[in-house]
Amino acid sequence: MKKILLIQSLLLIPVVFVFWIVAYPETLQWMEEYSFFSTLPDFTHLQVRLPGDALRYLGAFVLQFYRWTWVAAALQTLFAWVVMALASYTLWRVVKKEKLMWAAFIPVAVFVSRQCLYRDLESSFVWVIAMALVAVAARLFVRRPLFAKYSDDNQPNHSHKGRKEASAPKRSRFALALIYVVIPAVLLGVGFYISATDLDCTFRERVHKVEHLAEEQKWEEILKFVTPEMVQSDAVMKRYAVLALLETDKLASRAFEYGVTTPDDFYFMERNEFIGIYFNSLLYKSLGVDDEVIHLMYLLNEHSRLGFSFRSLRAMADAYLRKGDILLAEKYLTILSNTTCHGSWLKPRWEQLAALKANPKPRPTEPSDVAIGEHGLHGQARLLNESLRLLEIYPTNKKIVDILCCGLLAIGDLQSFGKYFDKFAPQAYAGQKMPAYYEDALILYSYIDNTIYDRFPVRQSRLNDFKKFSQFMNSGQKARARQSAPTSYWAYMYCSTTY
Amino acid sequence: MNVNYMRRVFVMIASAFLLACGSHPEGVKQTVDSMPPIFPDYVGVTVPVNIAPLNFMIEGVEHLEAVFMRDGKELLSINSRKGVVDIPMAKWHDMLEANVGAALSVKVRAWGGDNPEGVEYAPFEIFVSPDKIDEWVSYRLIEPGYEGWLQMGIYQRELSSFNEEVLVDNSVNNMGCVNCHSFCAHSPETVMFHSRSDNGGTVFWQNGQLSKTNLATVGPKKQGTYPRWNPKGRYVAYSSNLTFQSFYAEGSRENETYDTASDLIIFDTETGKVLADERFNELSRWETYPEWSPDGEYIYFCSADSVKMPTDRRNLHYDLLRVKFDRNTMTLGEEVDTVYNTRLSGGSIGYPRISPDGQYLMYAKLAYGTFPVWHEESDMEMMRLSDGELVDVSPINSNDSESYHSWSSTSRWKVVASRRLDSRYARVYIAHVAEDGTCGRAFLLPQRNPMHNTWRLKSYNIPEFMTGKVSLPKERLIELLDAGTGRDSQDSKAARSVN
Repeated sequence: MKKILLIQSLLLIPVVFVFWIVAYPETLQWMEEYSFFSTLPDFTHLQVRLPGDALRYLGAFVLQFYRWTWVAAALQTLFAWVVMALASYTLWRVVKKEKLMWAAFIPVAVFVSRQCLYRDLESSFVWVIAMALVAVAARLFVRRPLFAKYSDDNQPNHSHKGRKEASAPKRSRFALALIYVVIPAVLLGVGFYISATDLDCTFRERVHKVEHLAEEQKWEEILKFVTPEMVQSDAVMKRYAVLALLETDKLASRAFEYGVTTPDDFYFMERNEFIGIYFNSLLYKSLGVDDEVIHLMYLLNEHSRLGFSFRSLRAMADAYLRKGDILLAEKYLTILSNTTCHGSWLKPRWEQLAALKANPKPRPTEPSDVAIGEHGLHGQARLLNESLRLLEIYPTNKKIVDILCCGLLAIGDLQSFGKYFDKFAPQAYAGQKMPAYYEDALILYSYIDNTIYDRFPVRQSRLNDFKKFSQFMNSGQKARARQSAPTSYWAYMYCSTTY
Repeated sequence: MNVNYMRRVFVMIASAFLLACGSHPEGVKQTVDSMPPIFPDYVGVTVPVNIAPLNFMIEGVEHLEAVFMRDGKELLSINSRKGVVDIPMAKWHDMLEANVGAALSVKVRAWGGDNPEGVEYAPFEIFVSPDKIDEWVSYRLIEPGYEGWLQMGIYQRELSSFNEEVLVDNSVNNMGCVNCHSFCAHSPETVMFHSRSDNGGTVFWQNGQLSKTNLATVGPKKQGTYPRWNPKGRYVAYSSNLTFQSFYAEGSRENETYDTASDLIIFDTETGKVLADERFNELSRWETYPEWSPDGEYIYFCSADSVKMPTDRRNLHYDLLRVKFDRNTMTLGEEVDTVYNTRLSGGSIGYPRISPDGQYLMYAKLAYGTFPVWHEESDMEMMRLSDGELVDVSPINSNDSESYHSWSSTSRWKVVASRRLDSRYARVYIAHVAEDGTCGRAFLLPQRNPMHNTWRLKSYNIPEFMTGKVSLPKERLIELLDAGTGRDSQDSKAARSVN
């Protein structure tokens, strides 16, 4: 039995570990972010009220360590190993047939195939407990002393059963390999295949990957990962690509490559599930609207099974530090300091807080009138309305200008584009090169306001391009027109199928 | 090894242990004239004889010594090596009971932080009032003012100890909302609260019976919002509000909560009849926050001309009106008196509350609008009802929002929700109000560890005094709200959010 267990362990442990590291590293990290654990009395009081809550609490405790991917993969592997060990024990106890020990991998395969679906560890613990109960039942009700029998298996003259085993022909190496390695490996492979091809799990892994890249501000990597083809069928990827374009100053030159057709493509209109809420919080963080980031983090907490999440608490602490709100930043840092795995995360923040205390930012004294998602602002134009309101307080914020102008271009509202570009661009784009879509749009807008070139000169070469494009269009050669300026705003406006 | 040697070793170890645990460094390097910077700030407060120990701390200090004295005679000395003065419960209560009506002097010495060699502060006083306070206070704990939550509940706290218990939480209604608890004349036997969930309604606990009424389905079919129980029983007044929130992008205020409609209704708990006087149920004026006179003969309420919300929020000013109520005919009188006219005095009125002895009317006064919680300028104001004169209550107020408040059954104590600690989380403050209207400094609800005020991730909402503990039959409550699977529903809610 020990030998079998050893061989099975040698097979299972590295394979499961590598599977998690390769297939779902981002999901592992997200599991920690979605969870929360603290030694503070309120948390314990809220979480442990019924006996069944103990598993949730235990799971939350362990999930803290998922902050590091390799530790998370090791713990996921540990669960699988415990399931296997208990299954092996039960099987040995019940059938005591070496040649059937591969069957212990059946529950393991089922477990690993489903493990990616478990957002917390409660289900994994349920598996372990269920398997342990079966093992205990086998121990209590199957009257065969385990280790003695194992010895019998190797010293066949000690019992009748042992003699019977001994009389069996010695198995070939091939048979042994089949029993110990090949069949378990095939079973595991099936489990991994089911897991790795699960649409929900793979979708989430993709989402968590771009979320993490966005958190780390690796915008170019997002644009490498998310292709224009990918966004056609994936609304989440489209928004992350748009955010990356916004951050890298490319929104006004590449947005339409990524399938933007309305201002709604810039964010999630419905804020009722955590992927959308979190994306919107990253967008508002990018725009410098930290009060909305904090608001969204409170909403995000509602979607954690524990009422709070590490992700939201960390984001709130950072947002309050950015705002210069010493009291609330200190509150959240203090709460996070009562968790197990935040030492290195907290250190620079405490330093930041100390610097803030030494040089406090003045607190705003007047309430604003600019609200986000205010009642009455609905429909496609909501983000445009919001952008306009935000520009009242952040008139030089180029990102907000880009959202407004690109949103207007997306819906083909040249009149409004010209009006607001004229108003905000001189400050937002002062001394900078004008992005391609704006240059293209200004050429079109010049038919509405021919004085626009006085304020925003357009390159002669681009005017020539437009002339060529117009000639093709006027002669009904739409395809050639598109070919002549495939990435232009004119191509989006006049040649695309979506507009 | 002889016995004497062993004894000496034991004495040395015991001495070292005692020194480590209970002693403090000998003497202090300096004495200062300033008051100790203790948290919570209990300097010069008036406390009821039956209040829980006023444990306090000084930030950054390792060792604290507090000596309670009267007329130079030491009554109680507390040494703390953990930076928190944790006063033994029994000794504290003995001390207060022996010194009713007297001022206790508290000398604080601290070692650590900026004063490693110790500092002795000027002694401060605590006045022990002979006026007893109601034994319990109830409040809702919820995330501070945002739309979402997972766990929330109404809790009850014994004021003479640190005991906090669930009165009702949302595990009984599928993690919905439980709010707006109200008591008839502070009685724990006559209680109501709203349960907002699929099978929600207003829950009444009267004469040992639980019942539920969905006000939106009876009579004029208006949902009850802010309740006030007639002090003589039987009738409950409600405003029926259509409430929204705006979240600001920046500025001193994060949120504006407002109504776009609100009316006044009265519910007869005996007959189930609802009175909706058309004068107080029209679109052109909004009525909210009802309150009864102590004799139950008058109903007070806030009322404002309706404006376009949220755009005209700054023009929304609620007056305070009152109208006679005939208990026998369940009708409202012809005359409507203006108790507070904001056209003359400015501002806007919320949460009017009359002391049970009928002497004083206290309310929250804010610059405009209807929701004092988010208005940092909101302060308590108090009117003497005999002559309409305002009485100074500045010791209750702060630079931040004071909002919901209630009177004790004796009229000598106030409990007020205030955001003064960090501008975001409301906490419960208690203040003494003498018969002549003189107010004592408001002090923070004592906690065993003052850090609890930082650790708690919920805001205190609707603090109400109660003369005893409420004991609702939980099984019957679950049956009534048809939420027997409350905890499971929490899981499914989280699962829904994931999927």
